[in-house]
Amino acid sequence: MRATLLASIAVASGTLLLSACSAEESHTQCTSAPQSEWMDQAEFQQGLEEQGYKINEFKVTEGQCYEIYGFNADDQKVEIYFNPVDGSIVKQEME
Amino acid sequence: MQIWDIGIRLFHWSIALAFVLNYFLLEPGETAHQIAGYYAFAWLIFRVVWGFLGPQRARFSDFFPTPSRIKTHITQLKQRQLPRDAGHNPLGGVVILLMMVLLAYQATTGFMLEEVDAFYGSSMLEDLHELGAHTLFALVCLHIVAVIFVQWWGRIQLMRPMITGRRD
Repeated sequence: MRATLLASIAVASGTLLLSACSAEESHTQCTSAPQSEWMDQAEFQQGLEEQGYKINEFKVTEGQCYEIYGFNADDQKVEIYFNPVDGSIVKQEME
Repeated sequence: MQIWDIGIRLFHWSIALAFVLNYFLLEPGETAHQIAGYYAFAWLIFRVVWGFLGPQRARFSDFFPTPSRIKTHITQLKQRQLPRDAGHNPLGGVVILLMMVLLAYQATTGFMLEEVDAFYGSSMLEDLHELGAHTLFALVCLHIVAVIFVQWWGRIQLMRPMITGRRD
């Protein structure tokens, strides 16, 4: 009982430490296309604003996404990850 | 003998679970990440209350790191003889208090990022939240290494009481 217990803890902490060494925080991946194929950032944002979005923050993420924090046309709080090549929504968080 | 009550143990493993989820698995900003954050924060509140009203070893007064306690602890470490009936040692107490402050900080910055419109998605706040997470992770690593080392060096069971509650 004791040995099993300690062994499982050892494995658990080992896994934690290992995953830490190769720490790759999980993130949404949107494209693998080179940046030269991406839409222009300013034009992309302007297009969203024309659709009624209000953009608080615009970011280019580690996972090669255009990401916005803001409000949609219905004034709902949204966080959206876009594919920067075609502007399609990859992931959306809504309150 | 009984060392840790069920409240302390559930707190410990709940926080550990929430940390692993939010640091390694769940994407910042997503609903599940927020739920794990609130879950951890609720347990933090419980722990603070327990730190005043809980059983002896759960209380802040039991492990608050005073200079004289730290001195005694270091002497015991040199002799490789730690008291078997003790709860947190005072150096552990330092790390515990730091981790609790950081958890509160993570909860606050995370809440502001999501729920205060003026800070929604704020890059500055996001960086601060991320820095807090990395600092917390550094403390988690220190905690794990210290537990394994002190358990061996000090000839005392540390992991078992946090699981079963009891030390032989």
